[in-house]
Amino acid sequence: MAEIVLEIKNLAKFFGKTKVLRDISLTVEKGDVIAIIGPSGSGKSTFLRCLNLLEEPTRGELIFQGKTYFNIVKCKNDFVDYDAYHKALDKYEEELVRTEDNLAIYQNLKIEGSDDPDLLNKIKAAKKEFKEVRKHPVQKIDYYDAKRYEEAMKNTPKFSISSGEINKIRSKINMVFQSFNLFENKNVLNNCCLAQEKVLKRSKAEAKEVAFKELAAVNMQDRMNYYPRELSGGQKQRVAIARALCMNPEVILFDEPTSALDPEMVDEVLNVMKKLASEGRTMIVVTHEMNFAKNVANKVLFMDKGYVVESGNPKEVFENPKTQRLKQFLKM
Amino acid sequence: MFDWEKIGKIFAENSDLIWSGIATTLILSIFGTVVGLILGIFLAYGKNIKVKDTDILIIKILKSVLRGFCVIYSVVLRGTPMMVQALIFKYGCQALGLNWENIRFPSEVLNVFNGWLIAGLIVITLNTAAYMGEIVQSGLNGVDKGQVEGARSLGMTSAQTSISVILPQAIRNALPTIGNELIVNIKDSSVLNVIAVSELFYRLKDIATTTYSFLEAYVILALIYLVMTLIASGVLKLVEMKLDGKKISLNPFGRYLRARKEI
Repeated sequence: MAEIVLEIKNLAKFFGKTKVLRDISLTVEKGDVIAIIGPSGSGKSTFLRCLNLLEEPTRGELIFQGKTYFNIVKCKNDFVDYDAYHKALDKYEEELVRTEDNLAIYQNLKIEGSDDPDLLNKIKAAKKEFKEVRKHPVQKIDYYDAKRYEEAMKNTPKFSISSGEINKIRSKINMVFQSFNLFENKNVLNNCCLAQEKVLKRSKAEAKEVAFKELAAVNMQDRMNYYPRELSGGQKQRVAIARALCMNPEVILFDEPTSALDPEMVDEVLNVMKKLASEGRTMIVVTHEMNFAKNVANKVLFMDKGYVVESGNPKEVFENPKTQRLKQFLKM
Repeated sequence: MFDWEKIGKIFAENSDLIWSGIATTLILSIFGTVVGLILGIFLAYGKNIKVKDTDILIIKILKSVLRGFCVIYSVVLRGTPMMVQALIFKYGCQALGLNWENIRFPSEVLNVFNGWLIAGLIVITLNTAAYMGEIVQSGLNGVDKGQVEGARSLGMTSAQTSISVILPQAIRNALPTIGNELIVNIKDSSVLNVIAVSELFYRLKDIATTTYSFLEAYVILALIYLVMTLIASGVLKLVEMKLDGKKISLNPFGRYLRARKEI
């Protein structure tokens, strides 16, 4: 059995009242290429960003090579009575619409020049009612049970990690972005060298040597002195991959690496990624390239509305999907 | 009547004073802009300090105080004229028992270096810093957020990210405005004559009253300021072109000549 690199347990993320990720668990073994597919807004990118803590998860446990680097078992959101909260929220919004319509009706009458002597008073009353409703919005905190939360927290030890440790983890779980995010003020070579010198404390010569090697691996060795603004999208993305490779990472996260590229450039980036996969790199790839997921990945996750709807080996997932949602997504 | 001969005469007879005035004005404006920029960077970061819930109480208080100071500093210094600030600085120092007049340098080079120059440098630097804070802030806002994420995802600390990635880009974005501030400083340093800083305006005012040729002296003054600001904006253009990696051409008509050739 292969070595487990990354373990994700019950990862959840809430933005206000929306639950973006709901209890996702995943085990990543060395050499795995995991493709995450799904419609836009299903939480794929957020999931990836949570893994290297660019986005702080609300709850869950993250373990990298046996070392826990994020662990919050209970979060305040677990103690919110969501049923009652959503009911009250619906009711509040209904009331808001009703009183606002009421006010609008009277105001329209006034504009039309109605000769109702009591109209001004009616407008005043409607306005007052509308303001009264708006004054008492439904707040999540009213449905949150602080006592139970504190009781639960008493028994669970508090988890904390220094920002230095987080940076160390991040240097081993690198990320490649949809929008490249190359350093605009540095040329290609320095883009690759900067983090090596600052984070891994390599010497300048050593960093350069590694950068030469990795740039050659993505076939960008003849663009060493160019600035990112002088490169095409595909070239930028290949440099971004080389920049990540220079850090000698254990896991590389790809966040829709080909979504901002035209079809010709997509291939040059995908070829580099295929090469990495064949070298046995551990990769987690959020992608809309179904062919890549089918042919290169050894595990596919289909996400929708924050859930992992279906997962498994690509043949199973693509050739006979079990759920209706995935069939619909794959247009089968 | 306006006397052209007088202009030449004034310039010839008082060239020492005029040169020392030019030197003082340049020292004031360049020092004020450069050091003001450095202080402005700190100010911009100071105004952006965020108090976290997880901080302990003392850190929370320290952070709020520092942030409050930076905000109030930039509001007050940008909301009052530099002339008034200079006067308050002068009389404030006198009230505290520090008289800048008494500070003397061992050898007075060109009559430039004296206590008042130091006072003038302090006033112009503090004043410029307030503006630079805003300029750097807008430069920082102009840098894509992805740059931070790109750096942080490689494991760089937030300090490393700021110094090597964000600040260089912010200052590059803000360079035209920073250059503008230099030009404003060249002209506005003239108000420091109220605290007897012997800069260009102070010198020409002296010359005007001693020679009784006011119009001529002030025309000379205007011309000198014009030449200085033109040179400054030209140099800044060159610096910008250099930073953008464009070919530098010192011939201002080169563009037009090339265009004609293409036709």
